[in-house]
Amino acid sequence: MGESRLNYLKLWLSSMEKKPEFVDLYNQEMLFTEDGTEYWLPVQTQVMPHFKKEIGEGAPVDLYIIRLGGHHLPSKDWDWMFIVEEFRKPGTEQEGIFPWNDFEPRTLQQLIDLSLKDNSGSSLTKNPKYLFRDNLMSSKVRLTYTGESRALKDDRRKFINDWAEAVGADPAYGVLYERELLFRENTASTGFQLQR
Amino acid sequence: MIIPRTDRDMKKGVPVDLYLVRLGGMKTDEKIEWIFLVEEFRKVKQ
Repeated sequence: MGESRLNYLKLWLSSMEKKPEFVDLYNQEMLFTEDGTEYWLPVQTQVMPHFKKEIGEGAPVDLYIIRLGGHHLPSKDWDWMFIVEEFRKPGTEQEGIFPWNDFEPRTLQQLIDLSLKDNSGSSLTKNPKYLFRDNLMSSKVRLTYTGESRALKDDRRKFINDWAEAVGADPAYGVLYERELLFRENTASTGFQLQR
Repeated sequence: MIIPRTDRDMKKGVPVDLYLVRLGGMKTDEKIEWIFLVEEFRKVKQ
């Protein structure tokens, strides 16, 4: 991303009282066209690999974007700033072939049982209190929302940040998760970290 | 950034499909706290 757009993004984050680390999530732009007009749009770093896998060059795509605003450039009139939050192949909004079909249906209890047997990722940390797993076991689980939420506790935030660092993920990854919502599966309750 | 949509699309006591990933667990004195990150959610189709 060019310096002037980067500075604009930083200014917007500051004015919206967002964490400055968010800027690291949008340090790449992709070039799109609409009716022959080209647009460079910042895309979340973590979304880009999925995008390249699912959307071929020149193929149409539905973008879910946020408008930040515009800044005036002497040579270009207004430079409007939009950031891409999500995308879909056209016509797949309901079922969604990306990326949700990669998530295997499980119960949460099954996932926990598998996690106890699975030792992948144990070498990623020397902290005896951590059980890191490097297989994400992407899962679709059906739960009931209790209506309760809370701020993410410091020790759980540190776990996410340490995990991201250990697996070589973007260090800003943990910044996305600030709150937990409480869900129930049968009689058990479990807190989950949701993106801001 | 799905938190803003939870107020609109998630209702107390209503089932929801969560798309999550597993990072691992934290050992506490008596149990393991498993850490899952929710990447997306969908309302359950009736």
